[in-house]
Amino acid sequence: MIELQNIEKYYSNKGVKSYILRHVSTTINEGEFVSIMGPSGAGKSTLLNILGMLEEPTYGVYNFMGEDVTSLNERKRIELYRNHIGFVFQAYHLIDEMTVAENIEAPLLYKKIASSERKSRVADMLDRFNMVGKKDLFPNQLSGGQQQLVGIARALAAQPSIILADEPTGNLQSAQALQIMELFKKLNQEEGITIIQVTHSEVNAQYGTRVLHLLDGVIKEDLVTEK
Amino acid sequence: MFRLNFKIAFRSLMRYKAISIINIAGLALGLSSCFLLLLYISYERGYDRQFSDSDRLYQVMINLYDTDGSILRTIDQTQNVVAGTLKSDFPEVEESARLTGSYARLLKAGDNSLKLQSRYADANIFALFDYTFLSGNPANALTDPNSIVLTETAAEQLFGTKNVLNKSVKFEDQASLKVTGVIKDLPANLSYNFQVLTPWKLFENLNEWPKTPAWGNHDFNTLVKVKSNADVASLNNKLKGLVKRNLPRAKEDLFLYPLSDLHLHGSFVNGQPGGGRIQQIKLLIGLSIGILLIACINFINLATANAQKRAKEIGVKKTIGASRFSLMFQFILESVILTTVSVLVSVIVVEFSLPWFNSLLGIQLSIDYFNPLTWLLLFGVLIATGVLAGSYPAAYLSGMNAVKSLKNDLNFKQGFNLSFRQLLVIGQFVFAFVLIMATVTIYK
Repeated sequence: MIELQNIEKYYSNKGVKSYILRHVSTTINEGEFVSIMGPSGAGKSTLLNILGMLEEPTYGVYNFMGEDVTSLNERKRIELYRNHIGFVFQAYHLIDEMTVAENIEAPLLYKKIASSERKSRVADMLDRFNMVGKKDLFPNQLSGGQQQLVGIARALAAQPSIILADEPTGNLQSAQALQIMELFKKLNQEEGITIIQVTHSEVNAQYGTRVLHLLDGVIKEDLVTEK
Repeated sequence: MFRLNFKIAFRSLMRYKAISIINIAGLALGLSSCFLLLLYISYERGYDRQFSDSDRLYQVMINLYDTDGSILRTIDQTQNVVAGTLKSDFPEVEESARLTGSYARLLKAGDNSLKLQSRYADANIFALFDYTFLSGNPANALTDPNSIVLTETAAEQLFGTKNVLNKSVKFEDQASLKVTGVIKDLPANLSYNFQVLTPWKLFENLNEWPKTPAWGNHDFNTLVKVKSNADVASLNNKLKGLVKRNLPRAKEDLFLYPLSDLHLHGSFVNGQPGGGRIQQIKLLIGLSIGILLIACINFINLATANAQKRAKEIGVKKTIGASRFSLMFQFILESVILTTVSVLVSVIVVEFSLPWFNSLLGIQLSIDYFNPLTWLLLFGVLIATGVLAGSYPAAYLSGMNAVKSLKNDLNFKQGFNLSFRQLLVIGQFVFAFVLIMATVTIYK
């Protein structure tokens, strides 16, 4: 599904190149649950952003579902966002002016899905995450864990084939974090959704099927986790 | 989508109340000034265009020549024979009528007496100006020498009622006249305004001097209605030498000038129209556009300054599949909503300030809510302002980098954007400065 060949990312400042990523090459198949780990500044988030096409690599080739997306125009990128990629953020990033239900519905609106279908998908999501009673609340009326659930529900509503999560539990207490990770595992195992998450936590990484260890922009280890 | 955008726009207006209020107040103030000026401009432009044949109405003007043949001056006062001569000798002329100047005449009805602005007019004046008759018949309202036509206000002032047909009025203690017509009050923007019309024959009965046909006495205004296919330029050519043929010592020529141009283009240089109040109107048009631009610039600056608060929303929307176009549309929609509120506020402001504005300038402006043009203008200004004020912030906000806006890492102090804003602010200050200087200069 994802094929990275020799991805490099650096910033030039007065002729001095400071590397964020170096010679990153890897393949991620459909149905994998990959955790990207490493110390701060190792380039984890940059790698995830490149995977999510939010940033462009300075050099290298990135194939997404068989298509070279290294420098994709905005329209095609938006098509991929609408149909294949769901983002989950550490800071949730819900839209403050929208209610829970509207937040979940928003990607469907951009995807131009018919009203009745939208309604049923939103209802499904609310049901699944036990938030029917909270559907008319605004994000600032929810706890962090609840907001992240809405964030995940929003990502799932568009029925993506891959979820990119940047420290999804970074702002949560451990009990809530556990709940989120269980959910990811379930989505991965039962629905076959490919998940790539950036995490600091060994515990969280254990939920996945594979761990990529980054150090100073280089993949140091590529492990399959024990079942 | 549209409905949700609408809801979100409304919620974010409510959320940033202070900013919204400042925005609306600033825009409403600019719009109010703009609307007042536009009202004034349309009032001035509407002069003498209220009649159904306004485009065929002409005023007879006279170029006076100096001894060396150059044009000394252009006047609008004509001889008492001009109207008759034009109608009988020139087939292009359908009707022509004389009017005297407007003077305050003493009128008495019963015990009630007061002075009202009156003109003497030829009986066929109503063939040129189709005033709305509330009672009486325009065809013969001024044919009887002892008749009088009143505006409804004049009738009410004299008799306390509008039903005054055939009642008698004492005119200047010289003649007893019978009311033969009551017309609707005239609009304020007429060159030939009056409260009372009396017949030309009465003028001749009461005075000796106007009776004699004379080519050497300039005292009256002559108005002409030409036939619909008339070539006025060639008629004006034919009019050359007419006065001289009748009065050999005369050094003057008649010509017809469109009545609807008289108010704005009423100044003549060497016999040619050379400006007039139109210059003031042009200045005011520039001013109204300038004021509106200042308000828009203000709006743009506030909106872009507020960008940081919106950055996250934009980044998120991009990652869930929003196209740049849909984001721009959302911001322009917000701006149009804000402008709509501002327009409503400004209409209220204009309504409240009109009496004051009118008494300041001695005119009668009002918003004509039944005129589709008013709505067209209001709507036009609304859309133009909304889009103008909204498009730059929309383009600017929607173009922000999604990653950076999500990381709260946007550098707002760099590059083109700030310098563009600085440019706007400088433009704004320059215009404000020019306005203030102009005000100070005029005031002195």
